[in-house]
Amino acid sequence: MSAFSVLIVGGGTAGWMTAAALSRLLPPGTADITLVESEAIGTVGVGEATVPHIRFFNAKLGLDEADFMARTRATFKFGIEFHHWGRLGDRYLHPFGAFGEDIAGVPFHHYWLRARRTGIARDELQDYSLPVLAARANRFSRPSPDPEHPLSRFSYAFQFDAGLYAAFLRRFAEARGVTRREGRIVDVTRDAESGRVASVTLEGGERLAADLFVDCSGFRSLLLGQALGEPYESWSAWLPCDRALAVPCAGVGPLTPYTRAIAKDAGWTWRIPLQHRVGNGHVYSSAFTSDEAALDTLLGHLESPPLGEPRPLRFTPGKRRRQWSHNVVAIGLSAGFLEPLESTSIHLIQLAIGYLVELFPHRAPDPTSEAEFNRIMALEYERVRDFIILHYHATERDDTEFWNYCRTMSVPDTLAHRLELFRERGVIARYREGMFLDPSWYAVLFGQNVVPRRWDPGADVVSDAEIAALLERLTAEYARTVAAMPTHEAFLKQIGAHHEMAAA
Amino acid sequence: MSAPATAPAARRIVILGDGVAAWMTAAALADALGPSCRIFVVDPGSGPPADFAGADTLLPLAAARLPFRRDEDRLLSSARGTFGWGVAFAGWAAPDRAWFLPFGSIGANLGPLPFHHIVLRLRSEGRTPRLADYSLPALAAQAGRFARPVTDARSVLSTCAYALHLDLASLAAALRARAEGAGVEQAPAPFGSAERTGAVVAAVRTADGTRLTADLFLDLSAGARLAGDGEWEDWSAWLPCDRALVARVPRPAPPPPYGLAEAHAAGWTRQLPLADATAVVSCYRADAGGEAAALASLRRAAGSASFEPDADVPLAFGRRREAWRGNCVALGPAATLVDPLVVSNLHLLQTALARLLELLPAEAQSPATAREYNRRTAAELDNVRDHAAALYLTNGRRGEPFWDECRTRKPPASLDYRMRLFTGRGKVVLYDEEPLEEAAWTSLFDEQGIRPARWHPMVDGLPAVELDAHLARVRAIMIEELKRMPFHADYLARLGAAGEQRAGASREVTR
Repeated sequence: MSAFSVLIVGGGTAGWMTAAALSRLLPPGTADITLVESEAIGTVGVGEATVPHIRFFNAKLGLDEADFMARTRATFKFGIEFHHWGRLGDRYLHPFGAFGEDIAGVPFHHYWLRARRTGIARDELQDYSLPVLAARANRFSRPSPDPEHPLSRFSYAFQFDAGLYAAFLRRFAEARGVTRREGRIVDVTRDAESGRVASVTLEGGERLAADLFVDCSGFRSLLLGQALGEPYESWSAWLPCDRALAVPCAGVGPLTPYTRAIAKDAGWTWRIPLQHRVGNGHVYSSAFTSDEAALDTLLGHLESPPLGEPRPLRFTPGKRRRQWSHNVVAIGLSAGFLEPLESTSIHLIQLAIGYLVELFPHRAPDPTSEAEFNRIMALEYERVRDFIILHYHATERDDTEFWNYCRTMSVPDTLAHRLELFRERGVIARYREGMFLDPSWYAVLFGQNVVPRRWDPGADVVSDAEIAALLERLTAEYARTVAAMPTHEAFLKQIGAHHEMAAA
Repeated sequence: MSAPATAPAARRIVILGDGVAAWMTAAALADALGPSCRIFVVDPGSGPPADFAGADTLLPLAAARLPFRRDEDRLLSSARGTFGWGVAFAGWAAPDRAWFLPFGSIGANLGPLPFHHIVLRLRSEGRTPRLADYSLPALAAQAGRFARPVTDARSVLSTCAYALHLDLASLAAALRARAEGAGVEQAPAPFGSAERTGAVVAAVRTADGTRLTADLFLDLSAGARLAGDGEWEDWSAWLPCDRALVARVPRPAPPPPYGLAEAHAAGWTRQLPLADATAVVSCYRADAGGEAAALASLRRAAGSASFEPDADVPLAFGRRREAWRGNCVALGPAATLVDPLVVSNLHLLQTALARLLELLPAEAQSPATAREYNRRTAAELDNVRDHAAALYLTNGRRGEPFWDECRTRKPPASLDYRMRLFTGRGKVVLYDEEPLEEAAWTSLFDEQGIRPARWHPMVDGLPAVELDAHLARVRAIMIEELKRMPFHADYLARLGAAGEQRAGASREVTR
């Protein structure tokens, strides 16, 4: 019997990440992997900023971090700085890391709430986060593997050129036997009886058959959406932004180890610093602003002249009801879309790849794998969705119709429960699935002025003096640690991650 | 910031309950809330104690908020306990077959390939590996050895987890001393009546007329005297036993480091080794003529044909639909009773307490906090029910009416899905608040005879010799570690000696 065949439809970030992972993880000879893409079709590549999980993906592939960074012009990322979200003028950073230290199993923020009331603590929870303080100082170090070390309780991600990342993974995958086919798909053939996709037809008439099709065709969702007609579940009632403009420019000033997300009248703009340029974009709602006004907003916010024409994108936030149907698994934008506010696009690709590997199909149809993949991915998408909606909804802004809508809209029950629980008692609802852990929720909730009415009664057992001593120690320790860190730029050079050092 | 937090409100707590449930709760709350909170324990004065079995297990728990768990040596010696690597299931897969459910994990994955799937492939080629042969806890249980696991993932000891087998009366006494030392007060007379408006309890009156008000009421009474008007979900459709014989029998020396769950004609018998005896419970279904079978099983455990049980108690497995209503939280026997096959009622009380402390209300009415507590509690208990129910559903005892009938029962939807995924491709589904690790499900399904239709296709990409070598390597590492492990009895004796020394030292000081 011939080897199991996989056809990945579409290159770009999703396609090449999938190809690279499968080529690395499938034992040699178990599958023939082909990727078909057309140079005539552009990729979206919105996901230039990532979350820390990408490091596990890279590690599984066996990538050398400095080499990968140099090749993709990557910078380190401690988190995302949000401007004007809770109120005009507000600013906070959502860091990859815990706040302070817990005492007797009670999370730190309860002590901070209590101490702030008596004037012992600083006003912002932010001030008790090492990655926040380091980010503000444009400094960087990797966390320590020693769990006792103050440098151990945070993580980091990257900001990179997604086009270069895809190209890098393409070389990786091709070196491990993935066949790349150039061509545009003009037709999809389904088996009349089973409904499974049998083959795709390229311009020129050649047919490519496969046992498994991975749909990485982007928004078009060529196989899952178009050929199989899987319905799209729209979340635009909660996420009114539906368009974006993206344009790079040259970076001005020091290299920041964080992404910026600045709330605007009818959406927000991003700023993603790479080694060689800055990625910018404006996500906005066409119901609340015009394309012309959005373009002005984007260009008006650039720190240097745009490098090229801004690229427009249109989208509907949401996901395909099922992301795996028959023998088609959709990964990336073909499966669903959530705006890049929390840099989750690449992570959702990575999750889907992980579950595809775990539930890798056999030739014979297996409804159980499909059911489990769909159950888990739906939960993961919904948890991210709720986190993103939180940013829009937890606001006091009433200066534009857009913000009035977001502030007063009804939110999904799961998010309503989280908000009510946090307001009541300062606790984050716990679920098994969902990439954002408690500290992420604390960062955004406190950063957008959602404050619990009560702190944990267990936080009352400790004396004021003990809390004051902890706060003082943390402040001193963090300041000392940050001062000892090299600047972000110096660190990149120090580890050989600077693009000038990239091997040919 | 807009709405500053204010000081929390719960300053008085009434615990309605007795025995280990009440005193574990009292100790946990007193530890967490300190002297500024007054805690009263009121004897419900109702029927048999909650700790029906006389002994029970505590499974591993990351219990940063339960200080009584921190000094485990002391806990163990004060409750005359032993260590347990898992549960031996005898007579479940077939009348004459036994298998071992270890705590911790089994084997080692090979890259993305689950260990269990490697075993499945090798079996298809005529090998006969058993999962438990590649579990260090299972091997140590068999060899009667024990050492505490480590967290360093490079050591094979990090794959282990263990339970404590504890005598409940001794544990209750130790926890009571701890709670009273921290200021918990026992009401002078048992429960009389409650004053309430809807779901909100204002006060309880004791039989002597004392009125105790509180911000929070915790109901641990066997009859759920405060929380009892809430809906109860009955699990008898999946957990068929409804009575239990309880006894203490002399323990063989040395104590085995595991519990035994032995099926009999109309139920099952649990043996938990303690420091000085074995606690035996024989669960049965009364209308299936179970009493005789239970008694016979108990007598086999006692090694005496004339042995008589200490008690014969009724069981009603299930859970309260909403454990927390208004300002009253049902805990322990008022919240749930599970068939203690792997996850015990005592363990579920400790997880409920950890959850309650995390969500301890700071306002008289805390609807979102109650909703979260109830959601997580229900999820955890339903997972426990699924695991226990799966043991009955998949039994291999043919020709016995009780067991034949068990196989015909329709599983709960959540368990049905788990079984379909396992049958379909050997995948263990885990939901929110799973109390057991994946290995507990894998062993159950595998040993009870569920053979997945397929395994991970990537396993077929590797030559069998390479898979053989992987298994051999895993086992060799485990055997090597096993040789370094002390015997369970010696380990316990050393703890006992250390405890004696500690007690002696403190006597010196007081003198």
